[in-house]
Amino acid sequence: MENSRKWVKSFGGMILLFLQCLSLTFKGKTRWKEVIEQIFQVGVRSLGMTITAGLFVGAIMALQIDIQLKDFGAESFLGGLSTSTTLRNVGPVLIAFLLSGKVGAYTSAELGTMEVTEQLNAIKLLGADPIEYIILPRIWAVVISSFLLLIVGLMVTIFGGVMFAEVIGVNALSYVENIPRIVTEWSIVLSVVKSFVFGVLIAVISCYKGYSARGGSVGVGAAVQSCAVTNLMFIILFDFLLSMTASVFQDLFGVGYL
Amino acid sequence: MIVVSKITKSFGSRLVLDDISFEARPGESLFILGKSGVGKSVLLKLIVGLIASDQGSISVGGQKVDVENPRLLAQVRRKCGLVFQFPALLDSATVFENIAFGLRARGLVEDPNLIEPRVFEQMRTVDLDTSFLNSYPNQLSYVAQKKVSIARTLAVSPDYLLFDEPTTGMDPVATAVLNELLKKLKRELNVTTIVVSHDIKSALACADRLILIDHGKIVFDGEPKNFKSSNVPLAIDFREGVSLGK
Repeated sequence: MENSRKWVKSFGGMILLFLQCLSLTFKGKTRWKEVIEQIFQVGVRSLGMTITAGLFVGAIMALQIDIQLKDFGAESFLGGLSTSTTLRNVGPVLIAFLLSGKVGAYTSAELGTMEVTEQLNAIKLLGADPIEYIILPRIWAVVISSFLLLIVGLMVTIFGGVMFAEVIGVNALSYVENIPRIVTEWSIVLSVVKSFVFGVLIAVISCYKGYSARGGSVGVGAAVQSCAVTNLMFIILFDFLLSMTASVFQDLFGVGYL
Repeated sequence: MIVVSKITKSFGSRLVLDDISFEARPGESLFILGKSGVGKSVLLKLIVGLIASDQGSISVGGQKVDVENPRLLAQVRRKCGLVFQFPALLDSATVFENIAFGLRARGLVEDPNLIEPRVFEQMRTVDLDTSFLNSYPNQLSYVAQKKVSIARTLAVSPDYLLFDEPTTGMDPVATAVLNELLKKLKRELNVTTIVVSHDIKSALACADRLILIDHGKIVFDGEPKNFKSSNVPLAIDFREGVSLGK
């Protein structure tokens, strides 16, 4: 019962924080210089990891799907199937997992430390709103960084698939030529939408968990742990919801969904 | 004047403050003493509205502290400056940015060119070397960080200065410097000061009045000279603590 109460409070808190940040943004309160600084802090430094992970995700997908296709003698579909699966599901989810670990953990730990060392209280007493001064720039920085990193990561997964296709004896050119046969513009739209939603989730959850940390270093540790678990759960949940929505769209409007 | 009236505060089942009432008079330097964990810091956070009391009321300069009313709370906070127990400086900002933060946030200086002189002035007030201006908090000693924290609070020219355990973590020399600073602030600025502490030496050196809290209640309220002759058991313990420490 106590856990359910905490969960509802936490979920409500995240929604309120998100709405408050949207409201401040529409009022023109976003400090974009700070956003850019934070993008460098949390985004640019994650680029190497994202590229490395993307390459391997693409390679793993190509390998796994190739094993399945060989049984049916359908290796010529490798490029399309591998890229479609990667773009629609595996790529956004896996890269979002990695970013929730790096960007999310960094953000929640930083904000948690600011909270327990009374930096946020000091800001309040000096006449500023910590949500406007500290949280809002971080929310936008994490949303923008995560979204861009996910897009970069997804492009790299395709490249990783092409590279590994050569390794397993599939001609790279035929791999690439097969991609448009299965990957439609809707695959790309779904991928971009998922990337944006995952970026928002990582930003809001990480900032909320850090901001609501209490009780010294133990509290910061608990906040980071809770941030990691909540991020993973919500990424999976929203992946399912978005995939379901895409499926409904396919049934209703006949848009391309494999 | 700060008026604290019949304040009660509990955390869970633990009663921290039990029907506490006192006032800090204009220009007075009031020290609130008590053992660690007795709720002294809670009292300061109640005064500036960082937390809400269970019962009772507080007014600052005639204005009621109401945590449910952000507009009124902002007005109360504009009158107060709280120096936290630990420096609470923004890690990602330089000394200059930290001290200038309140000036900018409250829009106290219209001309941006005047911010720097104000920052220098506060650094001089707290005897902080101006070569630290572009340093980050983690590059400073603890004492220097504490001075930055005080300078940041003074920069917004509060009517009421609140200090939470100002001498915690400081060596005797730094403590003496801080005590001198408290006296200087009183002498030059004549602001009402409430200092929460368990440092009886500092209290006897700087206070106009002392309040002693024990088990959530005020057990002594009077001038330092009366404290020295008080028969209250905790007052005796504090005095003997001083004599044992000699």
